[in-house]
Amino acid sequence: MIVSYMITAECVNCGACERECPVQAISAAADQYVIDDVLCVECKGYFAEARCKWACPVNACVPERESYLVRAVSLANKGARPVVYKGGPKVAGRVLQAHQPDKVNP
Amino acid sequence: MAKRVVVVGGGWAGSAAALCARKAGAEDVILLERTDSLLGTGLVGGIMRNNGRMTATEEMIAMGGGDLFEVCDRNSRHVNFSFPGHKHASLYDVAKIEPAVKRYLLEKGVEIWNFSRFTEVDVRDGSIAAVYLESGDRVEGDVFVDTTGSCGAQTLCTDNGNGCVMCVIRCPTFGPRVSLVGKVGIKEKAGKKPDGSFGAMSGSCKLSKETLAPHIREELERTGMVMVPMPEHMINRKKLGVKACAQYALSEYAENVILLDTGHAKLMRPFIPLHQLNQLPGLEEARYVDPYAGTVGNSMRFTDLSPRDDAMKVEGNIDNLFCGGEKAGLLVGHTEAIVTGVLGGHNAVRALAGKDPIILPDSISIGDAVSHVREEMETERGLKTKFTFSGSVYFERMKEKGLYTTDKEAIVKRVKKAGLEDVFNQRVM
Ligand SMILES: Cc1cc2nc3c(=O)[nH]c(=O)nc-3n(C[C@H](O)[C@H](O)[C@H](O)COP(=O)(O)OP(=O)(O)OC[C@H]3O[C@@H](n4cnc5c(N)ncnc54)[C@H](O)[C@@H]3O)c2cc1C
Ligand code: SF4
Ligand code: SF4
Repeated sequence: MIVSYMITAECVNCGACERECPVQAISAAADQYVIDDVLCVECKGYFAEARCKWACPVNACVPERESYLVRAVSLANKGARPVVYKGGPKVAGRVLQAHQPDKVNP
Repeated sequence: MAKRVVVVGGGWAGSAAALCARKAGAEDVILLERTDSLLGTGLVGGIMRNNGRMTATEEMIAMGGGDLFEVCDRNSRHVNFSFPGHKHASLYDVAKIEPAVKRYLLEKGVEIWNFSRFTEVDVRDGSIAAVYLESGDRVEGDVFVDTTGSCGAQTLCTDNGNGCVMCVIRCPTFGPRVSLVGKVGIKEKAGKKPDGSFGAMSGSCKLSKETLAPHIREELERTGMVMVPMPEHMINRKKLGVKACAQYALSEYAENVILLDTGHAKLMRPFIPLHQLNQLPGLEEARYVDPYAGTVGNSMRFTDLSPRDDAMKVEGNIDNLFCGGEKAGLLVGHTEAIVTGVLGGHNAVRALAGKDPIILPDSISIGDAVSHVREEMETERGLKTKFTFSGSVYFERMKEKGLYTTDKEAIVKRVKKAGLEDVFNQRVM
């Protein structure tokens, strides 16, 4: 059972889907458009075919697949922590020490 | 609490900005970089000191901001050699340079954050209060420098290039570049190709040296350069027009495959299909190491160029934002990124200290380039041009204005006369 549509990294930021969506579930994010899976009703009661899928010129709007969502996000989004290097005068000739800090003001 | 400088983007420009912010007396300097390494597009490339870059490099050394040039010199595989259209070039070793720069910055007290991709910004009353990373961390600061470059992301490489070809920027893994200037809502400019479409394709690839015939490899390591003539049916003179680096649009580059020894073999073309490359004598088994799909294309650059003044302060409604490197306009190259990064980092600290910024006069080629490129970018023609100390229109201008020289004493004199000797070594707070 599909619960929502999603937009893959194929998205070319044209915005066609945002204008077409009957429930305003689509918005621009940092690098592409995204669908709010709480708002998305898969166009049930509005259109026979999901409107974003119909509108998208590059077939980026597809039924949500969890495996895609988990794998497509970049490292930091998967929980990779910043690796912080601190130096000072003693660093010369020593192996660089990297450590991962705790979250600062999450 | 000590005031904090946050530099976003750890390419050559960001590394120079962070270092020079420390040298100018800022106690707390954080350099944010989205990948596992510093240097961005500087992890490929490697050509320094060629043509007018020699002048700019020596000017910056005389002004006290030349540390990173000296790090490059110490990690050069070849110095003072020529290749078509270029004199007195050095080539740094692309494998050794990153750890050397990282160590140098750490020694000077810069705090480096890798795996730290900036994605959101917190603006209060016309100032940036903090940036957020993709990981959710909030990094507060008093002044910010945007040195996120102009390479990628997938949308640019797909729309205006030949798709993501898996270059060293590694967008699919680390997430694409995000412009800080763009995020605060300042309208940016985009460079154009001669046909008017956006961006420009990067101009060189890397081949694995181990895959070249032994005699080519030997000559490459001994002299720094090899020219392999192309058979007539493969010569495509049109393709040179799409390159980011106009200085390489010479017939030697259309008729030969030119290789430079930067540790790997730097191939002086935006791309060439592997099956064609493999038809050349000695390159029968050649393999790409950057971009991995160099067989079809290269990374796209030069959108999201920030409006800025000659002090590298970003123009618009934010009062604590500076920039440097490719972000600051169509000034292309490692040398160009370092000198504008120095200026941006230093002037960011001056702003913190309540002091007037340094604006370099046009008697210094760096000062002339910074203001000339800003003016040119106001024009449609300028947006289609790439500027570099090393060739093409800007090198011509340097020669016309008598700015180009390799005479170190004359350069030191020029800098002294402008009252700028060692300025970037002076603490301002
Ligand atoms: C293939 C190739 C070969 C080249 N060869 C040469 C050469 O031989 N000689 C020469 O002088 N020039 C060469 N150039 C040009 C030169 O590399 C660039 O003009 C110059 O290095 C740009 O430096 P920069 O610091 O402005 O930008 P970049 O090198 O693009 O650095 C920007 C940095 O910011 C980081 N960043 C981006 N977004 C974020 C974010 N949201 N959060 C955190 N970090 C972020 C990136 O990961 C990157 O490390 C070459 C370029 C390419 C692509
Ligand atoms: S229609 Fe498709 S390509 Fe256009 S914004 Fe929506 S998802 Fe992206
Ligand atoms: S080619 Fe490079 S810059 Fe372009 S999308 Fe791929 S990794 Fe990013």
